[in-house]
Amino acid sequence: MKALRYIIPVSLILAACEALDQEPSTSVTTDTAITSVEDLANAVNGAYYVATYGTILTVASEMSIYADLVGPDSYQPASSGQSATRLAQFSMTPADTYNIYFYLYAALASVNNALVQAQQLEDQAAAAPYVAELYAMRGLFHFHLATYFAPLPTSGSTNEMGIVLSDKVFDINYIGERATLSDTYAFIISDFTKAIDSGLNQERNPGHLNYWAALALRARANLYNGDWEAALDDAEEVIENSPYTLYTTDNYTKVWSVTGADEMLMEYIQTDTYNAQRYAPGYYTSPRGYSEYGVSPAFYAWLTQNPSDVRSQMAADMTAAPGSDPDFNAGYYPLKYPGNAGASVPAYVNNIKVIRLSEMYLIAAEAALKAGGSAAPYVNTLRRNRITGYEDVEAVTLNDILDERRKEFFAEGQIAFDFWRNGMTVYGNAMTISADDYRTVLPLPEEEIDLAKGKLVQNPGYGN
Amino acid sequence: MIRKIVITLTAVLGFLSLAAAQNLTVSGTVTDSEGYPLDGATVIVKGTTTGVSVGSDGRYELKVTADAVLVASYLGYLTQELPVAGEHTLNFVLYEDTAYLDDVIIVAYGSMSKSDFTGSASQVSGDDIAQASRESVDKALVGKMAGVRIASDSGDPGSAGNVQIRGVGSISAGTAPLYVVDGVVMSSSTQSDLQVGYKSTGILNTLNPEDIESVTVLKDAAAASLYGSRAANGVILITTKRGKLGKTTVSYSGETGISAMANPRAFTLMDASQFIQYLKDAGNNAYALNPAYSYGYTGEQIADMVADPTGRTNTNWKNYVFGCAFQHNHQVSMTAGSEKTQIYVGLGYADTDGIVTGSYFKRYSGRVNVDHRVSDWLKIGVRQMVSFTDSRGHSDQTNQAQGMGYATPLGVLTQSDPTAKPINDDGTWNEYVSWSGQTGNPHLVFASDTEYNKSTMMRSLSNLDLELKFADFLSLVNTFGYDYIDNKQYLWWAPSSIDGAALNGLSAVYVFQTDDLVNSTLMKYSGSYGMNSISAMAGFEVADHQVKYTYAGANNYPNDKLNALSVGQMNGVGGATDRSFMMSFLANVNYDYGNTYYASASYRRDGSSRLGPDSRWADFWSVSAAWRLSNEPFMKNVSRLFSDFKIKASYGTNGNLPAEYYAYKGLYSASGGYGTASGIYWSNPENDNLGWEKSRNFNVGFDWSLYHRIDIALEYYNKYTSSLIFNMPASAVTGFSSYTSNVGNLLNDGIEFELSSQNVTLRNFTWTTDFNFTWQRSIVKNLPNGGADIPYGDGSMYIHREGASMYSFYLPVWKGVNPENGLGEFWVDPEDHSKGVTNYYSEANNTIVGKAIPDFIGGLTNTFSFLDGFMDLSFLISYQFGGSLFDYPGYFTHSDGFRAASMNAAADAADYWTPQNTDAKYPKPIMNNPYRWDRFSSRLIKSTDNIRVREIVFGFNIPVEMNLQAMRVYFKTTNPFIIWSATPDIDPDVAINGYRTVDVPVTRSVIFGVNITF
Repeated sequence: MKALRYIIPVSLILAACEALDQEPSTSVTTDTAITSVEDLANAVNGAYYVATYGTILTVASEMSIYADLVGPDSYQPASSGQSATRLAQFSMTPADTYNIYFYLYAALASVNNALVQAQQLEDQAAAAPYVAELYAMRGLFHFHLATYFAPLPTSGSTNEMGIVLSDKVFDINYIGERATLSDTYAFIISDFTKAIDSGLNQERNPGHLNYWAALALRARANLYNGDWEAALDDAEEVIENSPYTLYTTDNYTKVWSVTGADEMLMEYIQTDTYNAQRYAPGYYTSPRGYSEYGVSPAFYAWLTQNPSDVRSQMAADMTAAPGSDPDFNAGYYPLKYPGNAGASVPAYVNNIKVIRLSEMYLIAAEAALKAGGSAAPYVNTLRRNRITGYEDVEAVTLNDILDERRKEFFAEGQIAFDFWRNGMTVYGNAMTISADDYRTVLPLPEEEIDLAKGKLVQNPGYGN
Repeated sequence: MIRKIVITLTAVLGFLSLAAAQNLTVSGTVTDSEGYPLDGATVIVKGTTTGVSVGSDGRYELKVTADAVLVASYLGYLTQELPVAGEHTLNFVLYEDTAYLDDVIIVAYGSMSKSDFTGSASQVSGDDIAQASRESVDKALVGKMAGVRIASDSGDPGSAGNVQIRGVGSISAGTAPLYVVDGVVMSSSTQSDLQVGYKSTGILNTLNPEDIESVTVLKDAAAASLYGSRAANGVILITTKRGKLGKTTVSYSGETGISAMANPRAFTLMDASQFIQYLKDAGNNAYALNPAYSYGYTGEQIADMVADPTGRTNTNWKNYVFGCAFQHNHQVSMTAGSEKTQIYVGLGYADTDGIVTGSYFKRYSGRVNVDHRVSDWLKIGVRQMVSFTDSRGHSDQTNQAQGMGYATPLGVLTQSDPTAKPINDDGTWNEYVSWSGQTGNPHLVFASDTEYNKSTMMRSLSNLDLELKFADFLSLVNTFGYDYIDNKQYLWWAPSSIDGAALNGLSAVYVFQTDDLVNSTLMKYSGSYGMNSISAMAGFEVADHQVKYTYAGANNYPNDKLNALSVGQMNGVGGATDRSFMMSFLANVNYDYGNTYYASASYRRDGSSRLGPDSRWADFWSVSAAWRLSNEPFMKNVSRLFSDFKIKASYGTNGNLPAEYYAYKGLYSASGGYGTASGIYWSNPENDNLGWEKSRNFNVGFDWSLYHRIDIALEYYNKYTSSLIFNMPASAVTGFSSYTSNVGNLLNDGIEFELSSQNVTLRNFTWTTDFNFTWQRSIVKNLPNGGADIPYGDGSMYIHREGASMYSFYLPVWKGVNPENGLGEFWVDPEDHSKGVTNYYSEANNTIVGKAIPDFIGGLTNTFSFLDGFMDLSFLISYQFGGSLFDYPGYFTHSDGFRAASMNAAADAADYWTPQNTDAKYPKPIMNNPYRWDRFSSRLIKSTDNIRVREIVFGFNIPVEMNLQAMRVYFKTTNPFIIWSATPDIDPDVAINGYRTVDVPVTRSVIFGVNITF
């Protein structure tokens, strides 16, 4: 009988030892994740997924309209108690900014990890375009973070701190220090350059950073960084050689639901499956949604004073609520989030506009103006595609360019940055914020500050 | 007095007849205190071996001498002696020996005599469980045992309760005890394995409390370390009822009752006139600061926007959200048994409505337990339970810190305009009552079928026990258990509902299917050699746990009428499978010498798939000893005072595993996607070193029985947990917010005292008292990175700090209202008041402002029985002191105007500062208040100190005819009232971590019940 005690356990142990190695059903181990170029392509998608993950305060949700919320032309038709109002009222504390920070750095960690894994691939030539795209993504994600958490280099702020750079795979205990502001922008520009120089695809590929998108973003980074000649060169290159074309007075009102529209150099794709739901800009700009982002009555009046400008049709007067429906929040709303074509929930599913061709004209104009050149031709070209019966002007001022930006890019996350980087004060609905005000920069999350124990310096004005 | 005379007369008459009748025939009955015949009892003549066995009718007959003394005895009852004294009829009434009930204690992988047990455990009978709660066994344990803390913070029927044994066993790994049913470890599924975050759903309430024979809580290492790696948080052994030898009995028990919010003062909001004034003041104060804060309106203009600006309409919405609820439940059971086979069958039905309209919990359960002796050497036990539960409710705050949902009971309550009419003049429900414009009429939201969460659970629990007896001293026991749970959660947001509008309706089904297969094989030995007795066992166990998850959702519904998935358009699908496996070797030995000296040791080796190959195996062990001093000759002089006295001590180790299945692996998740393409991303950093969490437990105490009437148990425990599985915060720059690691130490210690006293044991009146008291602490001893503080939780509101209690709240300190200007003030540095005060929340620094874990907890039960058991009364009081809660709903209802544009405020928040009311409790309200006084601070920390009546039962045992065996009717009330509470406006029952999120507070109920045995 005693033998039984041994025979049964031994046979079971042999079967059970295998069972002690269990594998997850939705993940693979890191060292086996990227073994082919297809895997690498999926890793590129995965990093976009993490950055635009459907939750609160990401680049696909509130942050996509952050610079509008804090800009001169917005107001809140309703307070639903959500984050857009907090942003608009400059009441974000270090306790509120973790998501803004986390998802971009998490995406960067995936980018850096994929760059390491990609080195093992045999077919390096086939991998090259994806590796280049990863560098471009790294530049873009850092650029987002820099505009949120560091001052704009040309704003005149005395704060010279940039952001923590994520340039490689870090050990889990890593605590980063902030790079200087100039090193931060140098890093962003160098990543775009690396991407441009290492075989990035030139074909249109909606939702992905290609050669032209990287160039366009480098143009923007150079402009933000005060390097007018470089900005002008990059913008010129995109204008002259890219396959993208300006929207026209005919199609301008119809492009907002289109994926891969004529001008769209880079957009974050949103789908029925992957979207920011109620935190999406579409829901914030819906009178039956959170309704926390409308355009101000003054902006609406100014935008619509010239009916021959097609952009006057991009905002709507919804101040007269239909019937006595109390669920309808009356106000003036931007119409740039009509829902992607075929979207199941239009307010949730709108691609996030990152950069488009019009901006190249306005970057070129501003850079040319500041470099002592002629800005008017760029502005004239753009306006001819926006205003029916437009007559060219001889010269434009910086204010003309900024006004053009307000009309062209409202609700696309740019306006406040344009004011502040030019040292201008934003006279907003709730607040007046000068370019050197500490509130032009968001506080680093307190979780990061606490963990770093002094290694990470908080932005001025937010305690410490 | 009359009785005394009768006895005296009997004695006299007996004396007179003594000479005449040397041989007398005495007959009579032997019954228990409720009059039931005690089939099989014995009646013997004292000092002889002459005696008879009592028949099934309880009658006996015996020839004796007239001066004989008869002794009636029955297992489990106190023996009774009566002098014959010439009487022809002597009826015995035997009382249950309460000490005997505790005599056999269920322990790990078996049972043993309580007197031989050297560990620490408490046992509660199934009757006490069923009396306290017919919903769930965990909720029934409140106040009944020392060292066991129950937090059932939700009154939503079917929600999960929390049980904590001897403090907090872990920081990041699980803190729930291990549940073992009839010797088989139940599904180790954590809550997240089994449910989505919309609504709490308990899996324990699939077990019908009325099928339970006893519940034993194993507390120390000696008791629990045979469960090794999973015993760090204590073990709860549940034993179900068995068939009994003898007459077949069929019994019915039923209850019906109503319930309502236990603390009627909770969630009282401003009335119409208070609300209008509040809006005026909040609006005007905001307008003066910056018109943008009040959307360019003055306070008067804002106050004009309410439904009825005159304030004459005054609706108390609380009455439309929380109401009275009906409940009833029924159980039919049968026991039957012969020498060879014993059967227990139980069928139950429970139906409990929630106090929020449209919520309910239903359970249909069945159990068959069969024990069969195949031959002298083979015994088989088969136990099968099948239960279905069906519960419906509304989204709650299960998913903590996600804000107040628009369709949750509290969300709807706080956003309803008190000046709006609930019902229109034409008799229809008024749709437009929401002040925020985001919710609807509570009645329409909750009573209609447009928005709800439903859960149906099917559980099958099967045991098969085989016992092969090789010899009297040697047997092999094989236990096979299979636990299958199928939980389907349904979410329906109709197109017209609050949450469904944006999606044009959403219907979703989440299916969680868990399989747990456990097989243990044990060789058991027992033997005695003179004064030495030894029992030992050795064996092995394998446990396979698997969870399959499937999700399907659809939106874009044509209308509210149909919610089947096929009616909508596909919204999303998902699915995953997780599995863990464990194998173990175990052994133990118990030795005793002359029932006086005891020693035990146990050992278990566990290997788990949740850890990497190099660290997955670990050893757990315990040693323990006891000394029964009352058996020593030197104690003979005080043998009545020390009718039993035993000291005991134990030391040993337990473990705990990570809650994650694959935490040690570096992983790329393939669950992402971008556009229509799939996406993979780095989802977990590799951590090969991740290992077991280990705790060392020391326990010392004594069990003392005084005069056989008072039982006292006193114990001290000290549980030191090291290599804590800790979710270490990581910098976001690494790509991760935390990682799992073994760092830090935690100390739990405490003193437990249990007293059970038979105060009065007269025939017509008995009174027993059970009292328990626990002093406990749970202290973080060592933290990584040189002991640096680790803030965690919602907005970093908690802190781990060396020397501080677990669940310490770490927040700015609210100084109060400045009477000069009405602004709120925080201390800039709460530890150094010389740095002054600030009006801005963002400038205030944090400190520890309280802890969730109480210092003292306990309960007191008094039971009275009158008129020979005809009538009984018992009541249970529980108490706790020294803990605090974090009032999350208070963050919304005391926002100092910040949320005035969307929410009503608490009634007591009306005492705010105005130039006329400078001595106010709250600062002046400001709409969209830029100071943010409302944010998490010491203002939201409230004491949970309370003394509370948990249950009162008043019952009658009605004398019955022969065809009925027994009948009992009773009235019961649970949570009837709070005797004293430090925070009267809040129900002090909150989650273990003190985070009050409840949407449905704890309920009180009044219940009528009946038990009939045929």
